[in-house]
Amino acid sequence: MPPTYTAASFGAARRAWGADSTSTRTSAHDTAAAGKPEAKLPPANPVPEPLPYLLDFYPQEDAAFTQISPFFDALKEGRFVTSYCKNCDKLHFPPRIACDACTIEELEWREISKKGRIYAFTAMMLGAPMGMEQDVPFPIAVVEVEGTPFKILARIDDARFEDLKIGQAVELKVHRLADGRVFYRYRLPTA
Amino acid sequence: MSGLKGKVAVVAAGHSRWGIRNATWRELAQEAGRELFKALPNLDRKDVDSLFVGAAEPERFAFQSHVAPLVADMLGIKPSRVVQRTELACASGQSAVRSAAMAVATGLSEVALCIGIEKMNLPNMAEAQTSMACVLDREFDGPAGASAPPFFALTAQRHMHEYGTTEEQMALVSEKNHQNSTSNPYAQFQKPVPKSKVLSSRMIAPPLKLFDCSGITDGAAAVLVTSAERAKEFTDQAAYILGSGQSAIGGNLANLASWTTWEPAVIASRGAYKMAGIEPYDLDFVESHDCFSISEIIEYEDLGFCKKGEGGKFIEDGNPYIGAKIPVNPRGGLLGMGHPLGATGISQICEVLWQFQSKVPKQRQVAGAELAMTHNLSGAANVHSCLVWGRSPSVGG
Repeated sequence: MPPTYTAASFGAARRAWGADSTSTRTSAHDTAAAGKPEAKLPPANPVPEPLPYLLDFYPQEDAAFTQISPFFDALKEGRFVTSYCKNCDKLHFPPRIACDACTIEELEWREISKKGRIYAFTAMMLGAPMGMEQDVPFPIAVVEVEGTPFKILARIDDARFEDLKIGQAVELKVHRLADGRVFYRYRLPTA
Repeated sequence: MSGLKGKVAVVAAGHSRWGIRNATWRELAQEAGRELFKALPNLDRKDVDSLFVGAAEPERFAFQSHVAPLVADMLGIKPSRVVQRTELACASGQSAVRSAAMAVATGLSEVALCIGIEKMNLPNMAEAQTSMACVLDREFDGPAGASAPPFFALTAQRHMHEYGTTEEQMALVSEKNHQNSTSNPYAQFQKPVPKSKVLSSRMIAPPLKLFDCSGITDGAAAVLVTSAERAKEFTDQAAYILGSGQSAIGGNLANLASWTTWEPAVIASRGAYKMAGIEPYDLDFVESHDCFSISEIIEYEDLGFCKKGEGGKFIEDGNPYIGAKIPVNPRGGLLGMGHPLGATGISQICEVLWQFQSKVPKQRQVAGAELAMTHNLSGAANVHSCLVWGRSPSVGG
């Protein structure tokens, strides 16, 4: 389902936020360099999902738009899959429509583990892109996906930066957007 | 392969004031262009046959595509050989000069103007932050919040974890480069920032704090590129390209070569050294891409100035300072100068020319500099670009 953004709703949300609060003429660097008290963070972004297409990070998932819609369809059902080339015995991430090693197009969808371990982690504390400002601060980690060669970037939900450590086990969490799209995140194991 | 060695020269430079500027994208272009033409009062603009515009995201930051002809219009030139924009995110400026060098070396162009421009301070900074984040894999890393500070924070944490690098060592990089930019009138930041201030500045993405990060900057810089044979028509002291190297590995973060060794930096720098016929320590100074303090520490290692993992100790021991073993970022680096994406690579080359011409204030003059390197990384440090420069076309082996 494509986003149902309208300019009117977006404009209203921006006005409610107050354009002035983001129209800064001094940077955090300048304020800090001058020894002034630091500028207050802008208020949490009230702009509702979805954002206009060219400000929206989440991929379009519909089969009418992309050939990797099975990736998202599986994720909606709680399965983590990616493309696999039998010819090269090569797993790809992110999923592809042609093998980068042999160019073969007859790829399979292969299920991969929803378990992982934190390889590195940080948190977004300032400068979040639009659509993510309301969540600041939020942890971000590089996760080693069990049974694959991949270390992938993902948000860690339901945890604080202070709760995390390198090597910690995490499990996949399906993040659902208001418009029905999905994306992968991780969380600390629930069991 | 001798490649470009000794064939191409930069003969003049122009620079706008950098910072949060009361200037639009096209005005920044005019400022740097004007300064370049002032430096060459006898240049007939009709002789400028080619134009290369380094610009990372004019569509996002200035809502403008097809920027090269607009710049030609603003600067009063009518390119008749090559006209193009180059885009390689944070290395877009160096890309412009690399492209010009190739055109000049083949004879396609005789006199090429290269200008890097970025306007990053926008009425809506949230849009600017969003735009910067689409430099990484927008669809598959973007939803995780993969803008530059978190990426380099993760890199820093791993480097600390694997090699024992400390936040104090990273703060020294910021302190050094802010000190160097105190004598650079074009810099966004011209006041010293001591280590203690770096360490106590607000957290952006742990372990990176505000002064571990380069600024968000409006700015432009320009250079004139011509053949080594014609350089003398323009100046007594040019900067000659002696070596060139570039490498890209991986797009999405899952496919990086490594989180703590920038393999493309190793490949690009060794390629450039080999073409120039030099070793790392033949260089008299380096303008490296310190977009974050951790970047410069990893660059000490991967550009070949110290052993892997010893980058933190390298600055702690006082090596990358002006007057010491290998001055790194005498211009002030990205940390001191600010980082208008497409302009940075050209500003570094301005510094090389002015150092060779002894035109920089004495506080940051590298005495007797004969050989220098400019280095840029771009994106998730998955691309590295290096150019080795000489005071003479025949310096080196």
